[in-house]
Amino acid sequence: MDNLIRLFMICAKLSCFSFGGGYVMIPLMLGELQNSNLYVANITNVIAIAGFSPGPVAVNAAVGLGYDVASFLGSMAAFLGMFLPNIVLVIIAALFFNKIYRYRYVQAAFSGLRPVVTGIILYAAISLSIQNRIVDLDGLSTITNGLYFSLFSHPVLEIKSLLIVIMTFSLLMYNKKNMMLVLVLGGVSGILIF
Amino acid sequence: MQAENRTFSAKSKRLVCLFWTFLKIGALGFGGGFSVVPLIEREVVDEKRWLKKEELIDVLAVSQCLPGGVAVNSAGFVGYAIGGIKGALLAMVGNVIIPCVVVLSLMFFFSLYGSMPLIQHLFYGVRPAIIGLILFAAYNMGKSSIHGIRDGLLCFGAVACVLFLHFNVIVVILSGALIGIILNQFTVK
Repeated sequence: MDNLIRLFMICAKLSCFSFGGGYVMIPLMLGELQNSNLYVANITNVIAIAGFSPGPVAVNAAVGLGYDVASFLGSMAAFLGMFLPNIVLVIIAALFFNKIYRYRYVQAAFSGLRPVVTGIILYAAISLSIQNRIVDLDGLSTITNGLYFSLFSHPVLEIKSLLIVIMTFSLLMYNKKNMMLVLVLGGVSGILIF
Repeated sequence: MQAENRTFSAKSKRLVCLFWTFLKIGALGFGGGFSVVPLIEREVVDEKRWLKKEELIDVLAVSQCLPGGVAVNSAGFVGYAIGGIKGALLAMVGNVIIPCVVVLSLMFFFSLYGSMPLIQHLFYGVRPAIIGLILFAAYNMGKSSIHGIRDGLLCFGAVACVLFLHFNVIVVILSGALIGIILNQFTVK
């Protein structure tokens, strides 16, 4: 029960600050989990599954995280934590729709918020690369069958994964509608080259 | 009495349609965020004609201003425009049901077969693909939100603050808003 309440509270807190949507959630979530004493076995897989499923990444990640920590009940607690504040905020905002949006200070705040959120999304990609051992900083563990670029005989960057990152990015530049296709291609290339 | 009945049934029919539409958008919306916008536009503007295109752009702008996913938030706003608070609830809940079921099934599947080498290799491929997806989202967002040196500095300043100085992400996001307001004070006067 303690875990369920903690999951709910963490997700509710994240939900209130995830400006910029799902991808901002990822570094937030990783940070919060480090500070809590919840045991999460497979956070990188949770994020992979959340990204692989349709729908909002933030809600998906919450459901996956909750399941990882405390099975079905956990996923319900995390889902409610993530979703309820979201519903309440949207309904309040909808009541004042135009007023909020056209208010000068709000516009000014967003002129600063947007570039920062872009940076946080970049950071999400970087922290996931570290978390997934694609960028290796401490040498504690490496991807099995990985092909590491080494600097001073320390493995630093995993080349096969880097190729998949580049492939995905270029395919999306070429046609941004094929989210599902690039993920499947990524998975298939994973099976083929690792 | 009969007229009242008819308007009631027309209204509830619209709510059911709303729910169904966002159920569909949720199930088909891969990638989250702005990748779902074309889908919402097709359903809400082109087919159902619930909103005009300009109205949808406003909805998206406000959705972006709130925490949470752009797709779920805009579902809430469109729902509110169609059916008030009830509509907002239906649209948002509809938007997340199928994704939740998919995530749960995949998590369950993973707990059974996750240790198989094939599945592990699949994940070795999916993880970098998701990083590519996130980089693309950052690129897209940067294209529309970074104009000039000031914005660029804010963006990379944010990266440096969390990556090297280990600042709290929430603090960095909120300072971005504060810096926006302060800079605006100087430029307007």
